[in-house]
Amino acid sequence: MSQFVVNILWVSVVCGVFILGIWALSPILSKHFNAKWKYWVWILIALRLVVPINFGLPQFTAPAGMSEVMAIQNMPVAELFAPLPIPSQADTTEPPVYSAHSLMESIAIYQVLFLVWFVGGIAFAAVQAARYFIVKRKILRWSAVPKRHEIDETISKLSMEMGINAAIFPMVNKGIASPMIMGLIRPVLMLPHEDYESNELTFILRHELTHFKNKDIVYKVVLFIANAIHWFNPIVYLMVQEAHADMERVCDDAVLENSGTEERREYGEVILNSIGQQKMRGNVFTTNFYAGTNKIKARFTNIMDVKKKKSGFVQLLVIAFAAVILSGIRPVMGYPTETANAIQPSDFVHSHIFTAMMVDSANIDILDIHLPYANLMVATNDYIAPGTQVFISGTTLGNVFTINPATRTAYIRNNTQLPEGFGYYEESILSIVVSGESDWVFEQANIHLENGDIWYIHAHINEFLAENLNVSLPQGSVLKHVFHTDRVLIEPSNE
Amino acid sequence: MKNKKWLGDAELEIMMVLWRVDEPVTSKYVLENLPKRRAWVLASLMSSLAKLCEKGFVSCDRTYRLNQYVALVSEDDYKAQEGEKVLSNLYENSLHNFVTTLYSKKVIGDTDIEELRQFLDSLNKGG
Repeated sequence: MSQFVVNILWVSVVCGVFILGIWALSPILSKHFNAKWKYWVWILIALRLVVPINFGLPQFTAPAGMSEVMAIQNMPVAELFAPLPIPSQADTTEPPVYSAHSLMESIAIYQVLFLVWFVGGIAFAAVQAARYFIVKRKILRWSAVPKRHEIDETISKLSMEMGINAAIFPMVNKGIASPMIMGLIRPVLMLPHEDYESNELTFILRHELTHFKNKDIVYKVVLFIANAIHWFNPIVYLMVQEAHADMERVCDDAVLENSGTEERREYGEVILNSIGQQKMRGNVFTTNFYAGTNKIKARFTNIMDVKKKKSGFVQLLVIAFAAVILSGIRPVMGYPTETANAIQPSDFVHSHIFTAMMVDSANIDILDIHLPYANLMVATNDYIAPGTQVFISGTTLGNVFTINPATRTAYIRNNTQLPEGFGYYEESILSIVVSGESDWVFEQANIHLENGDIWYIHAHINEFLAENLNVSLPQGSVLKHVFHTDRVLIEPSNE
Repeated sequence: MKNKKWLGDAELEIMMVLWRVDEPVTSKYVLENLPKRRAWVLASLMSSLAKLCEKGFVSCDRTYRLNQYVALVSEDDYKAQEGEKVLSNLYENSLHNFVTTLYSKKVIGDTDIEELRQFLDSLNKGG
């Protein structure tokens, strides 16, 4: 879950940077290029925002580590995970401290963040969707079939011309402000009235049909989904606004393709009239809204611009590629780098392995210890391949366990004895080494020691589940390390 | 209307047709001018019209060979009864993520429109 939250935030931040960059550059770029490239850049960024998953590219961050993983696959497991050096008693000046709480707190924060994000997104989407459906129903209910046959005729003529096969029903509704198309499956072209001049009507219908042909409602819905997922990111709202404006520009450009100044002027006039008529009908709050006029001015400038501009597809591709790749590469998500740094190579015999691995802050509770045995509890909930070997290192518990999927039991392979007088250990690592193929839930494993004692291990390794479910991994590769065990002072038992 | 009665979606479609003509019309005319979204057939239309007559929304003149229908309740009266005013900005703004429009409705005062017209003129001259 923490992985998921971090993924969303990361994608939001990286895409946010791109959005701001494009937004900042667009006044310059739109002098040379038409709106089309931005129209596509926005939707690509939106798609990236909608699919905030890790591309699983750990090799981008740790190629060296990967090769080491390859190397260790050929080594005997026992050799790999031989018992580690025992820290001397002198190192263990701290009293026993159960630090599991700090970890639980961090998990709780992620859970709270996830919940806030999830509830916020659902609320955002639900409110808007509900309002849409209510208003749509209201509008359709109060709509009438236009009496003027020219409307139908012009629609079919333009549809033929533009290669639109769908039947588009015209309706008239006095309550709406602007002509619009609603719906994808049974599109309804809604007009505020039907008293347009013929040329005005043609422009309006051509504009709306162009939107329909460009699937602009789908475009808007994708933006909407991105906005709902990233409702906490103000830059995404900016992008949605910009994308809507660019979508209008692309539509205007298509309507006016090959048109001269005269026609362009007429078209601008149509938009202006449409606004003016609405004003007269008293449907618009009469507030001066300068942002509004500025936007329309920008649109008029674009409309009146006869120059043919390039669509800038190279720029588009570069930006899109960069956005996708950059937001895909990152340190293996959910793995705070500080944690990695906190573990010194000297702490572990095989520390070189860890660079390439999925690392997570899960928790190992030590339930009780009666030397030379310990009961451990690892908080996890994951799917792990059968035959998975559990390896606990960083302590003298340098053991490899093979988990039997049927019994969910792991048997210790090599050394098990805890030395007497062993000091406390912290930040121990549970590694899970794949040696089988199919999945099973690793909830609790019993680790049988050679002397007949049993360790219970509960595993909750959510991030691995989120990232690698149904992935089969080569035998011998290390799936997971679990950091942050309790700090426990192991004292010689008097039994 | 003293006793308030409500129109269903289909009934409202019929009323919308009747409201948009000034003279009594035949059921055939109504059928032809209904939205095609609903699959209307004459039989269902006739029964809906009969129901509307019963409710007092429509009067049926049977003096000619073909019955002539006319609305008894005006559109504005019924709208007022339903509490249905013109759609407010708030309503329409909730559409903007899901529909395409000619222009997005954010403006506009009289001065703004004048200003925009001048701006368009200046572009025209400049270009």
